[in-house]
Amino acid sequence: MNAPQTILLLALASQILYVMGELLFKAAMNHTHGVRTPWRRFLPPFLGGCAGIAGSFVLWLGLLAEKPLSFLYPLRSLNTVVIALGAVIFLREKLTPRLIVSIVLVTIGVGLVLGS
Amino acid sequence: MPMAWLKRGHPIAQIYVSAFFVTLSELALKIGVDKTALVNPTTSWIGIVGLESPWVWAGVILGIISMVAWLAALRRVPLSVAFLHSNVVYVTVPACCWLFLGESISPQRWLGTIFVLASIMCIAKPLAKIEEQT
Repeated sequence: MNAPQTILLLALASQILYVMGELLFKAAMNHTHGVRTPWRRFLPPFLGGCAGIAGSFVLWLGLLAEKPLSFLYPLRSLNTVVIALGAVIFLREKLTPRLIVSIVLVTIGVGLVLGS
Repeated sequence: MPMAWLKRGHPIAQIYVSAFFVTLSELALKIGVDKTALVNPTTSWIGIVGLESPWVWAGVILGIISMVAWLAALRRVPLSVAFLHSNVVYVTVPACCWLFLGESISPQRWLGTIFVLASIMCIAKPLAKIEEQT
């Protein structure tokens, strides 16, 4: 559990679940603009969002039990990379130089923190 | 949190209040899981064990308060602006860990945190655009 690779994988899994939860919440909320909320369309993404956030939270608590918070907190930044790469892969956003620089910086940062 | 402040308070101040409650929430979660880890050392890595601690529930409530302040701010400032200011948590959380939890933070960890912060500052604008589109 204490190996840096395991910590990194669990932190990444926690952030992927978090991003999935947020996206599902957003999808659910998109059905609430009308006068009546279509529950059959609203509930599946809403419950999926709850499951994603809850899963991410439980993984985060497990990580907190093993490592100092100052070590783990910078790993939360992985969610920005997950969102950015998800947008490039699924939304066909451009992989801009700014995005590449950001991914390189976060990789160096997370590497330094994991090695500390 | 007074409703009038949520409606009419300065949105940037609301973002910093949100960051303050995020910091408190993370500290409470850490205290909570450490306390349950002392009682259940073999199963502490299963995060759900932490839910036995009232500190963890306090952390959840503080997290909800931070979310309310964040949403209040988002009604009046663009996500890109809010996102930039909210990154102060990458400084306040480690600083409070050092101050209040007695965690020792090596220069290498600080340097890593600075790189992470620089990365998020760099990605904030395009990321906010992506989030607004989805």
